Amino acid sequence: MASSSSSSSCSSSSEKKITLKSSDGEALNVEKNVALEFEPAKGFLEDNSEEADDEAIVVPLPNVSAAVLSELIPYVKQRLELSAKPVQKKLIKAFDDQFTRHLSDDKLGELMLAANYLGVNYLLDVLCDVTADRIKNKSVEYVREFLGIQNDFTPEEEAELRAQCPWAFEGVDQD
Amino acid sequence: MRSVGDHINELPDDILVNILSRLTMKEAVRTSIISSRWRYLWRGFSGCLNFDDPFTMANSKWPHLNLKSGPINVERHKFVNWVNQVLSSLEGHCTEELRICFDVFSNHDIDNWIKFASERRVRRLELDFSRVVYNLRFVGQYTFPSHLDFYSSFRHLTDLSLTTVGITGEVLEHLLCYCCPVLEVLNVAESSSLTSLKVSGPSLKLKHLKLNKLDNLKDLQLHAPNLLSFEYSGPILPFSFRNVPNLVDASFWGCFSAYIAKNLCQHSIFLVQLHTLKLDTCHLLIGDSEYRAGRYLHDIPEMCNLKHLEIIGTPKVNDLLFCIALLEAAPSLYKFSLKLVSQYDYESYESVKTIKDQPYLSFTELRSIRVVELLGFVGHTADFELVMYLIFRVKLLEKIIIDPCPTWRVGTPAELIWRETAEYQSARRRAFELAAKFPLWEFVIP
Repeated sequence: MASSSSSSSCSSSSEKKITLKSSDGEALNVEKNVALEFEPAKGFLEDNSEEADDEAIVVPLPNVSAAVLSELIPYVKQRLELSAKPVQKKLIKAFDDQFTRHLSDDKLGELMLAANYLGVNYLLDVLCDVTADRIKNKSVEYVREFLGIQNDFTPEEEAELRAQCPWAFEGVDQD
Repeated sequence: MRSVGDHINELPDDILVNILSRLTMKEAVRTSIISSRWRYLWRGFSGCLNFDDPFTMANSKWPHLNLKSGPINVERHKFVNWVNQVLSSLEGHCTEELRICFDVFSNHDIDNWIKFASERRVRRLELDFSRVVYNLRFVGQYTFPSHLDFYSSFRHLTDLSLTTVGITGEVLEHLLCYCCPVLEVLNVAESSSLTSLKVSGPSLKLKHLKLNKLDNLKDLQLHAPNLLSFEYSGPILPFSFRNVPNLVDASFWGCFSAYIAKNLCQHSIFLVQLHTLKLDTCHLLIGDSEYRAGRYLHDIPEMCNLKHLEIIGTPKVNDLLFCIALLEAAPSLYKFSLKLVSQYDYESYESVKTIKDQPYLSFTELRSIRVVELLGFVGHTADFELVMYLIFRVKLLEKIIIDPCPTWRVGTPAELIWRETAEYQSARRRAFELAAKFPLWEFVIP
């Protein structure tokens, strides 16, 4: 896995490891500084700070699957490395773009939920941007389908809402 | 397959509001009919509130309008109602941008919009109370309030743009010094009440300043340590560039541009620091025998940091001699843009001297230039000669960009119309003919 190979290459023996336990019961080893980026893990570690050996700590993250965690961990790790250096914002943006460019819609939703739960706000920010990009210049019908939302308005209600702000519905391009 | 929505529906409202705030205002309002959960979410919209002329927004064609005062008043009334309706629906605490561009005459409403911008911690505020309807321009009569209580907190404002808004120097200085601590961009245009302006302050963050068409300006002082770019078109004022140590990008238009062009040697210290210089030579030409005699061409100081030179002018020889003299004074120049003024007189044009009448022009190489841009190309003999001349002098040229669209149309609804005309198409065809003559060079013709 990308995360383990990259971590072994650049982590020194002094760097402490923490075990995260995913919703599907998998244990993932991560550097402590990466784990601290996840709000629930940070809280858990603070609550259990009397524990002498970090290696023995297992942080449960019952809302995130191993598959999602193993995508998030290398992202957060690299992002931490980037922001530690005095790099330009452009580089961080390029890195974010590379990370999000090929995300499927499904994965995008999953990551957004995880980033929200884990409190990784800089990632959430990027993902909101990507989501907005994907629904820009689209009709309501497209957006509804993209977001997987059931229209619970009656045709009359919808017509009334449209009539309240007619200017917003003028000149809509076809998808 | 699962869609993004299986997860999105589990997200809290504030994240959904965050997403829709990144859409346009129109798109955000449309999300109200997605489902009952989304019905009121848009009211938390914190993105860009863009109230532009609905006609220029909705279609690029000129609207067929009845120019009697009735419908125009009705339109204005509708516009004001639109802005008021949207602003009063919003519930969020902050707004990224408020942009209102229309010939609004109800000053009381404008007061409230500015108040809204202040309360919602707006970051970018643009007001332009003018509008062109077919070929008539209507301009509002608003004066920025001088009572400073309610807008005492534009704490988050980074960009302020005021066009056809009356504002006095006193009010503007107060805004700069006390109300907008993080302001980086300031544009003021067509304000007749601006007579004196001192851009200074101990902690001025201002990076970009544009002052355009300020006909009554009599005194201007610049003490802006962080200023990077400055654009000015207005009366000729002997203001000093001594206190703008970081200014690297300067643009001058109109008669002030002519004044600078004729007094380049007086500004040699300032010119040395520039990376980008934009000048307009149109006013140089008018009835100036000294210019025609090329008097100014001899004492152009070296501009050793200049990377980009942009000239608005004609392909006539007087303008070209000036351009060439500037090019020769800029040993690090990378890009040269020439924006040819459109609608130069074709008939009398034939008799005007062009490059071929100047056999003594230098043909030594201009070594640093890589990109030449020619905008507003018509395809007249003079345009051809100019391109050929540049190709001969700039041996290391990598790219020649030729756009037959007149520059004043670019970015306006008129651009799209122009690009469909036969006139444009034939100029474009001539550009391709020219490119075919020089297969070794990369031509970019949009």
